[in-house]
Amino acid sequence: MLKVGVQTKGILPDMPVDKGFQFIKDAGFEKVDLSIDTFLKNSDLYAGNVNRFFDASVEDLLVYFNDYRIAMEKAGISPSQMHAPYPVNVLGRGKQNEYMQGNVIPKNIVIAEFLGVPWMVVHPFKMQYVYGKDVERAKNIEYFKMLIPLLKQCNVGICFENLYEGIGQRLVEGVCADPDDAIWYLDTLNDYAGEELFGFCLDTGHLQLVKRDPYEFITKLGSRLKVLHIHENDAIGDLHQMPYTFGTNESEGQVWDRIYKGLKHIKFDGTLSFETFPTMNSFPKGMSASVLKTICSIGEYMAERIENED
Amino acid sequence: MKSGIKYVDGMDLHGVIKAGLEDFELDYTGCKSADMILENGGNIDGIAISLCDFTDKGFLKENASQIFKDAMSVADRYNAYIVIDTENVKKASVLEQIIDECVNEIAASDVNVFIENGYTNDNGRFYHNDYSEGSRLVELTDKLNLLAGCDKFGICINVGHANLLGINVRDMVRVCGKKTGIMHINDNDGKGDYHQMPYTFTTGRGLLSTDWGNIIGDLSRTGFDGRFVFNVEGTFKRTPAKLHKSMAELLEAMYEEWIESCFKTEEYLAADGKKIILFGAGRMALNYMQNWGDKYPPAFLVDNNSEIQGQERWGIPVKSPDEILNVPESERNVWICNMYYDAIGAQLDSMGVEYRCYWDHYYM
Repeated sequence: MLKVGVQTKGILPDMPVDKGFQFIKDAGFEKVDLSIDTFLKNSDLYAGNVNRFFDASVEDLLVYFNDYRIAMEKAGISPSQMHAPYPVNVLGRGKQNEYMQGNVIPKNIVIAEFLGVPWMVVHPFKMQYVYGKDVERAKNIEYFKMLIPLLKQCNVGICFENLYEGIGQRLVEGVCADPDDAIWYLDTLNDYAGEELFGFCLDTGHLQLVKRDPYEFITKLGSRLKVLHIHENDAIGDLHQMPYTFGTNESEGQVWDRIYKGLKHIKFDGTLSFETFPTMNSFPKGMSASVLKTICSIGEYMAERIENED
Repeated sequence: MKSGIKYVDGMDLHGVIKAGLEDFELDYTGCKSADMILENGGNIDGIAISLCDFTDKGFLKENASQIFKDAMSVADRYNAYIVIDTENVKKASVLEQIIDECVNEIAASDVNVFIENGYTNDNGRFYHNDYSEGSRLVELTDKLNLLAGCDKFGICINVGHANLLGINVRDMVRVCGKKTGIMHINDNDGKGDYHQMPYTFTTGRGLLSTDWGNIIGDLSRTGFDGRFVFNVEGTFKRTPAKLHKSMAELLEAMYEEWIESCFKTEEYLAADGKKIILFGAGRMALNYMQNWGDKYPPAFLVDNNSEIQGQERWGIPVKSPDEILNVPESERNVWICNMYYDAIGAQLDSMGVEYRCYWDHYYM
């Protein structure tokens, strides 16, 4: 049976580290998605406000994250994946981009190795809306190719994610929103690496936003799919809410059956990992444990469904 | 006060009841399910009737009063209430006419009748009807109680319906006051009457679309002691039956959260002879002072910010957290009044101090 996990965002670093991991474990999860992006928030990066957390030396960062390692071990929980800070590239922010690409991401790879993370999700550069896919591909390959030696050294893989771009009030397809685009990236980079260092992170909510059929997307990716970001939305906004809370009957909302079928088809053996931290904000804090338990139950149900798919 | 749930065809009754939601409201037209609910150990707590079923093109059907009398006798049998769904009925006179014809039966029975706020749906557009506004419902229930010569009519506030019309629910709660006997708890995005799980309609990253905290807080202030009925048919129709128990557990946890963190606040503050100590001297403490300060003034505040220790806030001394230990354990009533509940909770745990959390989102 597939294991179920949840991101630490919304729980850590708000709670004391040992309590936070125990809280996740008590809700029933066996795996965690370490949200390292909470240390350098995307809203701050988009606003150009870069805090100095990752200025610390690798040694100091590992001392800091040692608490995570100890707490995970104590709680009996392990990471299925990690989310690096993002965006790595913001148009027109040369110095910030240099800092993210040359400092933050490499340090995150080392942190991932230290914490025993097999796959680290890094958002590829989103440039296609302004410059087109060719430029976007060239810039992404140029950067991610450079990371190959460090990834090999640390034995950590990078997952690209299907992304969108916010244009005015619309969310339009971004990098890797098209499965063929995603496949091109992964195969190209893995060819350079000579081994499988690049995989895919499928975000189920982002699929809804750009109206992609989950079964088709998943089966095209096949074994390249390594990790998941499971959540649901109203197909308009990227709400990251819990599955099954949109619509009024089985035919509305995300077509979860198509996801179960697709994952079964490709013999997915990763973790059913939920990216539902906004539920930690929207429900009263006193309900956090109940909300997490509900999310875990949904994951267990999904695991059972996938197992029993024909 | 108690919680209840609206029955939906296909619901995993066993799981829902096991989750703690034992009291069911069911549609009069679905009364055949009553036996199934009872067999599973549940109770029939309420019968919902749709006023629309009593009318034809805006006029009362000939047998309308008989249908109402039949529904009354079903409710009587189960010792249940009746809730009247007013969706798509424009004129309040329709209900007045039925009640006028059933006065004797109503007076003779023990059944309470609650009128729900409704709307009219015209080709997908939602409009107000005679039953949409709190003040109109108050007026109507007063009139019906006078007509029936008893005090059996009350109000059922449906939060989802109010949201569809852009109604100020807090004001509705205040206007309806003690006449509100039932809260129909469900939510939507303002575009469709989805009857979905509360707290899941958001914008951005978890910013709530419905102001649940203050709605519940205002209910508490009006002295509401009726039923919270989760009529989240959308959730149960959308969710696979195997997950119904989990969803019901979440709803029951919601009810318990409202009771524990909001409705019981005063009871906990009033703990006899204990000194109220607030941990935090900032905005949340000010919120406390504005809402509870006169009735339950703190003995002192504590704050980790050494720069304000020794000062006063709103006439109350601010001290170091260590000062809590100078108050005997049996005399302390410590409340965290700061958004960093986890960190302060850990600090108090390490000091061996018991505490409660003050949740200001119920009192904004």
